Amino acid sequence: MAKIDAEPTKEFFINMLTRDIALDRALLDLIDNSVDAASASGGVRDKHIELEFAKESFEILDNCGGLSLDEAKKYAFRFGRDKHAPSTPRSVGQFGVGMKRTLFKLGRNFEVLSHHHDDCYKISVNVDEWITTNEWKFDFDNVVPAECPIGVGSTKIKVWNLYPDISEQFAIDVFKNGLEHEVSLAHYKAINDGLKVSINDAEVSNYELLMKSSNDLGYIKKQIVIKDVTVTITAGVSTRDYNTGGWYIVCNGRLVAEAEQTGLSGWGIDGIRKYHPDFAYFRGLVEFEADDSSKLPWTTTKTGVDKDNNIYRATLHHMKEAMREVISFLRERTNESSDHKKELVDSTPLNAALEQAQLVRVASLTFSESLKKPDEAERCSEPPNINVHYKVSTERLNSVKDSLGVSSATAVGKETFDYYYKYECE
Amino acid sequence: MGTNSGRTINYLIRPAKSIERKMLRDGFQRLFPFGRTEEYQYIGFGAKYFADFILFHTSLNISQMISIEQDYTNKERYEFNKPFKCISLEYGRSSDVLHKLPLDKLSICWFDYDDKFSETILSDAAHLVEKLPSGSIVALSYNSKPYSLNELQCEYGKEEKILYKRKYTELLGKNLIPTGFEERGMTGWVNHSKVLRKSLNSHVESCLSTKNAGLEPQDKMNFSQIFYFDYKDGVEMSTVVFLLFSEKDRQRFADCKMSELSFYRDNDEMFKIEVPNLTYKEIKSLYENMPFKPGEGTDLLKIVTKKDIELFSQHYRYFPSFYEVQMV
Repeated sequence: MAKIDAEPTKEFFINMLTRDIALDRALLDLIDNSVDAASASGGVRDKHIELEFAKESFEILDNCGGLSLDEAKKYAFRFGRDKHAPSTPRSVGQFGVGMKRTLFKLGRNFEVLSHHHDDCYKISVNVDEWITTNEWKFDFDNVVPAECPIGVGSTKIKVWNLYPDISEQFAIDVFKNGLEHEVSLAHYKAINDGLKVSINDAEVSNYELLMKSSNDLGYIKKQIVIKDVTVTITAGVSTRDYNTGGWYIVCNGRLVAEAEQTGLSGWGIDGIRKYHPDFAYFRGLVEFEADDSSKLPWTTTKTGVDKDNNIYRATLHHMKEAMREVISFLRERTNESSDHKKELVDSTPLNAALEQAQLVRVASLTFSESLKKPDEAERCSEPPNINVHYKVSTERLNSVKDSLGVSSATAVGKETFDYYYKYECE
Repeated sequence: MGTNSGRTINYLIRPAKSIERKMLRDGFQRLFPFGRTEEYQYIGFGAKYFADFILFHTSLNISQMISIEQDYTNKERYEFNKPFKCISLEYGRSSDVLHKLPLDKLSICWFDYDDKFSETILSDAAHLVEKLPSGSIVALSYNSKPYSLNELQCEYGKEEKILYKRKYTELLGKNLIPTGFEERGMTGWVNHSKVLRKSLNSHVESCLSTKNAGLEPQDKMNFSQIFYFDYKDGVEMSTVVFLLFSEKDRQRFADCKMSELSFYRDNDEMFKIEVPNLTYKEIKSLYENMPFKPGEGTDLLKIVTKKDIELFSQHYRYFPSFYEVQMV
């Protein structure tokens, strides 16, 4: 039988690999690797990751532990995850593609320098040359540890001869600002736990997820385990901010969805109302944790969740339960405000509790089965006062104004009513 | 019967604004490498007094002039008050009117918004920089009074911890907030003004970057901030001015030598237009001592402060001429 050569070309491979990921996501992948390395080598406290980029080059330097030569040879530089690769418990990187995809996406030359315990080595690649060979291998050089330009436990990745679209993006403020925002959200946990990240010498701010909690007003926080994945769901209220209200979804400490307000997180489905300004107080946090990160319901670009994943669907059921309680409270609060305006209630305990409750870091909240809230005020069946509206011709109104000696339409209404009441009702 | 020379300049006549106008005129005179000023069209918000139109028509000989006026209920009044025949009025809000204007011509646009910085300014700026040709000027003036802590607490509640970041995010969008933004210090005018200036720069850069993606290298449009003024005639105001030039006109931009002007500013250090607190009699005497070299002594130091003399020395060439007469 004759054969058709179906071997992939390197160009095709690189093209397909780098196509489906946006630049900011690609840079986040590198940061994910550094955070994983930090977690695996004693934690993120006091570790730092420095990104520097401009038109001509990109560099990321971290002191998060370094990449061992063994790992580099056997796993880090393979495309796809080797079945014999040791699992990194609770890792963020797990598809075996992040670093390589980013390096090929950025430019024509890259270099990875790592100093791990006693290993110091360098992998330098000229992509245009590499493409011309048939081998799917990379050359590396050993470096004498004493001469290593970076400290122990550090990794430095550099890319130059950047592709024009990448170069143009790196030159503009809006890209840098947007990236800072995304990093501060994606790794809010690590940053709050002491990790320092800087982008072109500006430190990434720490983002705090806060909820209100007091003696009168509580929240819901519960934990369930679904097939080796631990899921923690917290739902409650915070400041009234339409743009930041909604669900926040985290996988192994990495935020993948921020201010989720669509059907993906339960809004507008199964009897739950669509996200709405009255719900701008709502905040929900879902945290998925698993030793085997491939079980988590995230997408390969780590943005959002895979809604078809069974674990996510099971979780959604619990999210909806929690949401219903909080939404119900928020609806009662809205009704209380409008009742108060119509004078159907004379106090507003729900609004008061909401205003007075303190904001607290979600991480510090203890478990709570249901939402604690104050009792609603007694409602009158009808309001004590009602507004009367009607139209009359200007000519007639002016005659009555003259006759009564008043100058406003309101005074006319009031005095004519009082006049009738006095003579016909009292 | 004395004179009024004992009274100080009345800020209601807006002396700082008048100084700014003349400084801008001097800047615009330097655009000759791109073309004679007569070839430019001027687009501004003339209001009832058309002060900028009068100055630019008489000093720069610009005869293609458009005034955008949002008070469309009083058209006859504006037609009556316009000082020259060559001014045409366009009624409506700037964001509604811009698409009707011929923005493919060499232009000087000075949009002097009375209001606080808003989304409108960002969207007008985007429209202008995306359409105007190389050699054009985009100048934007706006109220830069900072937000008070109290004002933001009333809006967002006392509990909110990131009041300023939230306000700026709503005002500018999260991609225009500079990295490393600090909550502290934002109640001050200087810091607030700097945030707005930086955001405008980032915004213009982003708009042009998108436009340039589809252009040949020599046609790619660059921008340079040439002036950044802060001033206060009663209300805090700021002005940022950009000059647009294509890559092939880079030499023309260099030939303008804008940096030779003492009030040239291309970064976040503003030029503060500050009118000294002097009486007319003092001003007259000070003129006679100009130009003033710092460190020089003068008898006037017994009468006015050193700071006032320095301020006067910085601005005297641009002082408005005015007369006040007391009727007995």
